[in-house]
Amino acid sequence: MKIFKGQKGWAIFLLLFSLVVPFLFTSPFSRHILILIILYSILGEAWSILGGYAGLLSFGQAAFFGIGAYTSTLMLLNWGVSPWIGMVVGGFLAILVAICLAYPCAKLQGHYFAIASLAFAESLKIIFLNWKFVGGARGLDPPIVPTSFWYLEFHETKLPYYYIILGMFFCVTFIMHKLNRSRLGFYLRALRESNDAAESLGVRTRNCKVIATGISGFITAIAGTFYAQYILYIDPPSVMHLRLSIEIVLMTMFGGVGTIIGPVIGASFLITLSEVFRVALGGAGRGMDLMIYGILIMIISTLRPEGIWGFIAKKGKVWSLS
Amino acid sequence: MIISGLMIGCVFSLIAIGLTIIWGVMNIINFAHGEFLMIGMFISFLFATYWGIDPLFSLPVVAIILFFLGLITYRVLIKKVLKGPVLAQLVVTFGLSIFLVHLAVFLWTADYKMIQNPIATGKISISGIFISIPELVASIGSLIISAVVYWFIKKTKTGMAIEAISMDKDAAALMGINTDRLYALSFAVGIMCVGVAGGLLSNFYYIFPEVGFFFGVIAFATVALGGFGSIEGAMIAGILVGLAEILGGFFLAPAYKYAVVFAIYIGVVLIKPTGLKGW
Amino acid sequence: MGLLKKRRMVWVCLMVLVSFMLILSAPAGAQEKIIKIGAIYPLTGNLASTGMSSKRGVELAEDVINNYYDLDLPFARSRGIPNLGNAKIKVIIGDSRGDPKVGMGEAERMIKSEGCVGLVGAYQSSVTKTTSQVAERYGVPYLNSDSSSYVLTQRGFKWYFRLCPSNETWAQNLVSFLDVVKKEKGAKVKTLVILYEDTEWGASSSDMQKKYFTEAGYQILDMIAYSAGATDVNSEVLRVIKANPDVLVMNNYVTDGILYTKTFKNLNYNPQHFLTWCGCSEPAYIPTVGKDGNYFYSYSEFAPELADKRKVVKQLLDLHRQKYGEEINENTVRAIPAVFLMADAINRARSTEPEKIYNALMATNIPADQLISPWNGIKFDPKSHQNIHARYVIVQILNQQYKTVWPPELGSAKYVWPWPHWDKR
Repeated sequence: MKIFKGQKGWAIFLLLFSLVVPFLFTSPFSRHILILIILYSILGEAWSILGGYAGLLSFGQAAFFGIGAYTSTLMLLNWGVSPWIGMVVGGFLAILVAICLAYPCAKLQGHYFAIASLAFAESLKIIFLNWKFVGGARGLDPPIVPTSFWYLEFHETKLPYYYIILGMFFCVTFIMHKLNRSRLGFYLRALRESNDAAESLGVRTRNCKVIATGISGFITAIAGTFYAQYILYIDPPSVMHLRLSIEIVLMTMFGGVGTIIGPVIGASFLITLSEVFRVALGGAGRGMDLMIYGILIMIISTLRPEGIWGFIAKKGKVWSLS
Repeated sequence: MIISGLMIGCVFSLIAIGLTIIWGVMNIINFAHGEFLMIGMFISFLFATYWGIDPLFSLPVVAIILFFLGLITYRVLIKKVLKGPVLAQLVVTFGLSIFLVHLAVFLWTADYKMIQNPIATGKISISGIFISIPELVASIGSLIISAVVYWFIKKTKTGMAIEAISMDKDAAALMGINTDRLYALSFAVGIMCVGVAGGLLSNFYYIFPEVGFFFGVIAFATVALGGFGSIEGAMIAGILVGLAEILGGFFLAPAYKYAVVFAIYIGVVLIKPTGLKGW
Repeated sequence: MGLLKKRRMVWVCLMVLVSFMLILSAPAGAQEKIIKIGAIYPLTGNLASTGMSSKRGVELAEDVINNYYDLDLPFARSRGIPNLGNAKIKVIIGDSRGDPKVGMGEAERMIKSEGCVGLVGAYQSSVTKTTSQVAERYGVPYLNSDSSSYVLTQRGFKWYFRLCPSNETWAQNLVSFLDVVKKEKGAKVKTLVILYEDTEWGASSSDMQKKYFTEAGYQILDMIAYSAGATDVNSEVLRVIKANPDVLVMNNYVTDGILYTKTFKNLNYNPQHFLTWCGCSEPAYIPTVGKDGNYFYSYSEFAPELADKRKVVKQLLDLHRQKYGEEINENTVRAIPAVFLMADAINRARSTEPEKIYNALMATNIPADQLISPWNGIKFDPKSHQNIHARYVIVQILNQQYKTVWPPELGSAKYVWPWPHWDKR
């Protein structure tokens, strides 16, 4: 598990860079992209807990994202509760749901778990699409209130949104870092290598998986609340769609699994690429921008199957060995 | 109603068989599987529209074209990432699926197309039950191809070698089986299956670049339900899925019909963690 | 390659990408005499074909405004906006990809980076929600001539204006039509089933239909939602058959419409009639289903028969045929009024300042004969900013062509009721 061990300089540089970058790019559109990059980085980190550490490919992250978004929005709409509180409630609800998913499915091997998570998330989406209480297919509109930190809504500028999500990202990174060194982290990595071996050594693999799913779900749900307050409209296709789950997996894989910086690199590259091409070519509408996007993904992943960070880290390892 | 479910189930089976061969043998999650279905449909459409060849007759050609497309994809893309982490293969096939969808948009626009006046059209009535002929043809076609593939894997030497690889790659290599060539072959066969399914579907389904996505998702659930790498499993699962979809839709509510399919998957897999017939 | 070089390579790539972003999103430089209007449509994704038609619409409008055409269409006989020294307009087209957050990004880019003075689009109500929110936030006029969800005009927005009718209007139109049918043909229609696609549009449309039909005394036997991307619709149709309504009201898109048509035929389902909405009016529908599409009722926001009654309609039809070599389709028509009105408002305001355009928009009162759409005019309700003269026409597909059958003053064809059975044709 490589983070910037011994490369503290890089870490500090990135930290400072992230703090000042919205002042380098002042147009709302650029800041929008930055916010999306960090949002997806958070989602990628959350996924890594399952996919990177525990080796459990989850294609159902969208379920947790949606739960977070819907919980806080419903609480806001019906009872005027601040999204911050709603966020935490949503997170805990996500943990509950995670337990429901992970406990029975913990014994499933990789592929089967992946499809189970997919099936679970899709079923949840279908339920939400038809459930009047959550607005069904009409979606929910968080109320538009004057700029307020308490209600997590800012209208004049995107800066507060940016710093909030950045703050969330730092928290998540901290959690990941702690997890990395913790006993749970070791257990997860052990069971990724071999479930049976871990079991025989006394690791309660099922519990570990459930806890991991819970943490992952919590983080993802919190990100969902942020999204709801940022975009100010949610419906099942935008917060619970399979495509979202796939995008999360894609970005993390692309950047490098099992590293903290991986999802960030993946999100940065892919989101920026996608936006740049769309702006440049998308207006033509012949799908050229996405065609090029697809080609680029294929090229980079065939040339560097370990993901971008893996590619750097691998050589780094060799370097430090020699 | 049950008959409809069975029929569409046969087509699901064929798609799933294609996927399970690729997945089971090479352990590759082929995200672009649905997109090859779409290509099969488009090729069939092109033959019908520009050369007036009915989709039934162009089917063998579709099969061959997709077989070669599979080979090419293997050589150019898949081979390179087999060495990397399993997850990297995901990224490649994902990129491939994005590329294929938008290539189709670029070449043929995003408009919906349908084949006009196919031979397989209309319906027949058996003791008061209406059976749609195109669906019937599609299901019979799927069954035939599935049977052929099954025979190939189980009875021929090459097929058995493929099965050996999926069970234990290293042991197979030690026994002198040329894994690379057989990988290419299995991939091509898998793609051919799904392409043929596309050709069959084009008789009655509408064609557009994104059509592959939904069928792809169902295919994944089907394969998992049947057990990865098991052809019999995929076949049975496909039919189950077709039935579940239609019965669930009728008795519960059409909006939930896919939820029923997923619920069945989760149910089965909790009882038997490797799917119906997987290992 | 050494580690340092490799790292540098990656960072360099990142920097390059980032600078791309910077360049592309930098605020627009000194304005030449060009007035920019942003248009956001789903150019990729499931609704790409509609998005492309809409794109053509805004491009056509732009062309008519900027260049000289001896036609009665708005600004045809001038080049550019007359009251602003013939300044040209430029429509900047963005792809929403059918995703509200992408639409939001595009809206921000257009207003802040490109300097658009107004926005149009985005067809999908869910995307229009976020794009118009952005416009509201930055105080820029947003003209919507193609999203029908009634919710959009209930938000109390100042800068959002809707020219086209909403799905509430459609429900009311349907009820009126049924009244006419009952009177003229003596039809007995008591029970209905409402079938709808599980999208925002489908759901909100069905809400309105339920409300107005129930008020009018009809009994709604079942409300059936279905998944938009379904691989087949057998179970849905079987449910409808079981409920056995007099009339089936459908809210479907073109792909579902095609599937339903085939399934209805296969299962030989013959209610008293079908009232569909949206899907069967898409250009892809009739070519795909051929004569199976005959006799379905659907809506239209465009009545080709108007060509005989309104000069501008005929001129538009001819112009489109001339330029693109094919008949104009309804989605293209829907996108056009927003651009024309934007230009018109800017012209009347004699300025590109938002407040002045706002005042011009509020004062809008355009008579029917200048419109290519079958509305009675354009005049906005002061509170909701909904065009009070907007309405739909109901068409029936006869001989594989759309014939307007309602409202009576626009309708030309004799409509067919009840539904001719599948096997009796």
